[in-house]
Amino acid sequence: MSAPASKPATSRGVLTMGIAAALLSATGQATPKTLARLVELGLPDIAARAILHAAPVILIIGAVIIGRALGRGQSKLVRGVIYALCGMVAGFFTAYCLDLLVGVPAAIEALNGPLAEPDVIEIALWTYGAIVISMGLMVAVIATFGPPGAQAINLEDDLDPEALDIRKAERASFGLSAVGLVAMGVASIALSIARQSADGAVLGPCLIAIAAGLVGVLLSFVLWSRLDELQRRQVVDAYATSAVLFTLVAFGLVVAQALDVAPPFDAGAVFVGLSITQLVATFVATASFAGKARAERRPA
Amino acid sequence: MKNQLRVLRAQRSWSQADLAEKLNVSRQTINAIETGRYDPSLPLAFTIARLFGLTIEAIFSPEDPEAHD
Repeated sequence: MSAPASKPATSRGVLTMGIAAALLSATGQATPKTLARLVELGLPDIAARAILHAAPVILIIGAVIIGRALGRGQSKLVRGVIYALCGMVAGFFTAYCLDLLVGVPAAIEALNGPLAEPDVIEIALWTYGAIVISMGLMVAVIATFGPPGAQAINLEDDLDPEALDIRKAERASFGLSAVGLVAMGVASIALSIARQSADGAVLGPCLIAIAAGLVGVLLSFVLWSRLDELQRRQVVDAYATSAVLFTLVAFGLVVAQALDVAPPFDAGAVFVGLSITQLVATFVATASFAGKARAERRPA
Repeated sequence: MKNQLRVLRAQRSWSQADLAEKLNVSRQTINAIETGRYDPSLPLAFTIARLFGLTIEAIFSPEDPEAHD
């Protein structure tokens, strides 16, 4: 039997998440409206700012701990949904406290000119880009450090045995996957910047989006050639599921648009809709498979 | 599909990772085959049979043998 699968794993991910939340908080500045409300309540400005910087860190750690408690004993898929919901709540309150990454828009505007306020599709492009870049960084940690890296970002007591059994030979694939994810995230964000830019400043972000997209597609081909038959089946299952899901969602949107209750359905919406659906479908395909396989490994 | 993979592997004191390396697949795939979650392709089944020096039928058998009569 595979010995590493029975190794006890610690949930170091909570600490890692706390450090990441603190770093994220350090990039932000207090949301003016919330800050004004706290000052109106009689808090000194410095204290109000300190609270608004500390609250998201506590909220994010709290969300992870609540997610762990609620997800205990549930399937991987259900646990994933619980974590996503806890993350959404923490994200909502974090946005209420802080404007994060405040230096980024200013840096982009300095390079490429002023950006228009993002619409729903552009917010989705930014969100998708941020999610896949974060995922890419996590995969990069595993690729670089192997099982200790997987343990460092694990949120649960029970680490997936697959993560503990990563062979050195497989780390290269993780590295390629990490670069591919970051490239697709950069492409998505560059597309949003192109849409938000003035007419004369569209070419630069478009070229970056095309270059990053090409890197992502090329690495997908290389990764596909390295997958074994089960992994390929999971990818194909995920794509098949996402095609069905996206067709249903698109149908609903077309109906909503005909009824004049949905905004125009443009190419950006198609790209980000498909990308997010594929991300979710891949998670569902692999999580549901891993859950079943793990359940069958349990002793009777 | 039932299979004798876990038994054959244990007889040789191979870990799932060892067998995965010999077959050039992931450990996840070995685990999935052993737990009956995944039926290997014919080429992989032949490779497995060759590795253990057995026929495919000696390793893999249908859950309901009568279904194949």
